[in-house]
Amino acid sequence: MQCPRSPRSRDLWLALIFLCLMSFPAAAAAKGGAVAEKEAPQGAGRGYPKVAIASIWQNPAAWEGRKIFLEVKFLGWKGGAPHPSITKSDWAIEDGTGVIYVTGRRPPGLDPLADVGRRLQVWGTVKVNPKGVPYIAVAQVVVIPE
Amino acid sequence: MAKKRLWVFLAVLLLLVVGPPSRAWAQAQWTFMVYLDGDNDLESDAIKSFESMAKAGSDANINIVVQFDRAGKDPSYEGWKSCKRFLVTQGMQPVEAQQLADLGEVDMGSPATLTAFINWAESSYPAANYAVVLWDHGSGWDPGTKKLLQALKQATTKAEKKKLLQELQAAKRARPAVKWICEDESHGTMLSLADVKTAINGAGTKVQLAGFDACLMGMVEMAYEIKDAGPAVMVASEEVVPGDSWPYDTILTGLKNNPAWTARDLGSWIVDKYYEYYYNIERGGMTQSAIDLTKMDNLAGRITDLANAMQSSWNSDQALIKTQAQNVMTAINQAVIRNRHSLRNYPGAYGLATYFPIYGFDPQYNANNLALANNTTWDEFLLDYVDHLVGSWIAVAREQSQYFEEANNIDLYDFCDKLVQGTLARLRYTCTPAPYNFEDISQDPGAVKMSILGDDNFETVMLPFVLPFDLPFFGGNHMEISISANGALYFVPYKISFASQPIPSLGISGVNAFIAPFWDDLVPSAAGENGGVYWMRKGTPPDQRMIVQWQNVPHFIEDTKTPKGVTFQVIFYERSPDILFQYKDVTFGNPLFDYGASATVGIQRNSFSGTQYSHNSPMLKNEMALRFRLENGRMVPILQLLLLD
Repeated sequence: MQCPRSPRSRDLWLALIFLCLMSFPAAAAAKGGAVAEKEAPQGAGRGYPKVAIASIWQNPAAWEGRKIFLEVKFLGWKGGAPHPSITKSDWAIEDGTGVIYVTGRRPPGLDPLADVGRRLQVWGTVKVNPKGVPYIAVAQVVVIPE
Repeated sequence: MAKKRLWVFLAVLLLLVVGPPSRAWAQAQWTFMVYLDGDNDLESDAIKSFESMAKAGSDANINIVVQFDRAGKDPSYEGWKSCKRFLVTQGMQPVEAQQLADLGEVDMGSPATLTAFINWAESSYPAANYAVVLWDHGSGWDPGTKKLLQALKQATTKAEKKKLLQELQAAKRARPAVKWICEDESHGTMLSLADVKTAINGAGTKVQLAGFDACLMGMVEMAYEIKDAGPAVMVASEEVVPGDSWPYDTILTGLKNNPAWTARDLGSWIVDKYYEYYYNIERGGMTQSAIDLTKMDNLAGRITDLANAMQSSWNSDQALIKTQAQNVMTAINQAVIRNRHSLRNYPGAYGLATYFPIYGFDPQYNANNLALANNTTWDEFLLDYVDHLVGSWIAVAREQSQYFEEANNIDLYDFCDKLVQGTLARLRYTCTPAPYNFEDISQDPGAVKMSILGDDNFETVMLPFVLPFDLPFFGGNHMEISISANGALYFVPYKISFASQPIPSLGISGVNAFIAPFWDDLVPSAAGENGGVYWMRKGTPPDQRMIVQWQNVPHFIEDTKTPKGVTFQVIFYERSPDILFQYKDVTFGNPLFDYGASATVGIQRNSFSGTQYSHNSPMLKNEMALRFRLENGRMVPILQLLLLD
């Protein structure tokens, strides 16, 4: 395709490029906020977007209902984020950008106090409780061997 | 002078006749103590529970007394970080101006602290009856690292911390199982079951009711532990407890309106109010029971009888075991004052759980001198079970019993019920290749296209209205079947997880038994006009078939769908318990998912047994068929099954 020569069409192209540049961050923000989503290695998240926890906190409504993949450290009952109060046994995870609670069965043997720091892969759906606190309803957890 | 003496004499006489202001007259009927341990990540929920208690508030008959330890992470109500005592009145807020005392930083994980609270409440707020509720986390059977955690918290030098960390790692590897309640994060402590007994026993007060507003405390082990400590009634949940905790407002309002209630009355009321509060909440601890602790000696005796019978006669005298199991059921019926449970989530939760591990008995079950282990042969049976009985019919009963989020806990009554009903047979499906003969129903005018609209959704078919034959599944008859968007069929009205699990595995979503021709994250609603999920009854008696077909159904990826979809079907037969899976096209145009690369194919009977063809492995082909044949198979130990799969 030839580059347009006339001043009018050049202005048009510049306007289009400007609009594209402006719309990219807007779209990113609409998807989940300013914290960039990390690209998971091919196959690691099995087709689910790898998400930074901070981006969920920045716009919980934008993430509500979405299925996601997280690579995290287990915090158990050490907290560090608002508790969604789904059950008293909900457990926390952190990924360096933030902390969020997970509700659902922990892998057998993963102790909520003694196993703090274990590396996990978590698949789940983002939910938001009536008070606006986001959390993850777990679908699958893989404990990474130490 | 004589007149004066007469007046004094009359006054003394009056006092003798009427007596001094009686303590009994000033006494309330109940002092309701709450040991509110919010010195951890549940601080905000603890505040909500305080607010709930304040909706009811104390009156002349009822003292609501709280010892509230906070972590100081929640800024509300002055964000204090210490331990305060309150007499909760209507509308009270947990703030300094309302406190009776500030104890500073106390160790809520110490039995001495609990004893002191009970003693203080009794002396300050005497009543005819006492209830004490322990509010906090309740653990499953977790590693016994209590002392190490405590020591680590108090360690001052780097070398000391490093050494303790190494010991902690070693302890974790050893995984001694210890069950506890009331974690105090500031001190790194918690109360073991024995600590609870020591604390209540140590108080001079006669506590009539002990409540546990914490997860997983409704166990024989807990009830037996405190049976001689004073309380006649225990209230606890077999399953996890929701963050909203007990609905104290309705519980305490009921008690205020009925101050003459006995501990049994109050226990039953707590169970009912808890059940009503959580009835309409999708996920929550829908189990709660009031237990008569005076019946625990009898129950422990029957447990020993059953444990002995299972050890000695598992392969020789099934009748003896069934008799002893029936006796345990009778003893549980006598002990359970009131039990409410969600029939959908926990159909087999009858009031008391017990430790019955899946993968192996942990000798540290008795790490804290557990009374039930000391006084019954239950622990000896568990040891024997792992060594000899995992392939027996007893294992089949255990597999089929109600279990909880802590999967090492099963409902004891339900287990005994399964023993009583049990047979020696371990029914099992075998999976073999079969001739491929796809019966496409998608264009058949008699087929029903299902309106599975949403992602991950399911639709339930009421079988008696559509099938003239029973749908076979391990020989059982089912009234309805749920057909999931995600390529699976099952018998409960839940969404199955979008992430497929290996077979067998503990269900995350509550779907524990299923038929999975292609369990994966499928999106039938995205198939458009040319696809979806269909079912149809075909053939004539006695050779009818029920066919369920997923037609051109794409895979979910990054909030959208794969370029093409898969087509497969399941066939049930009127004349045979066999189940046939047929695969016309198993490619999505994405190697992450093609040929079953992210799917589970197989049949799961329950969370501990099943037959798997593949899991997250591209082992399917276009135009292939798999036949699952029901067999009265040989006894296969659970562990071996797990290894095989």
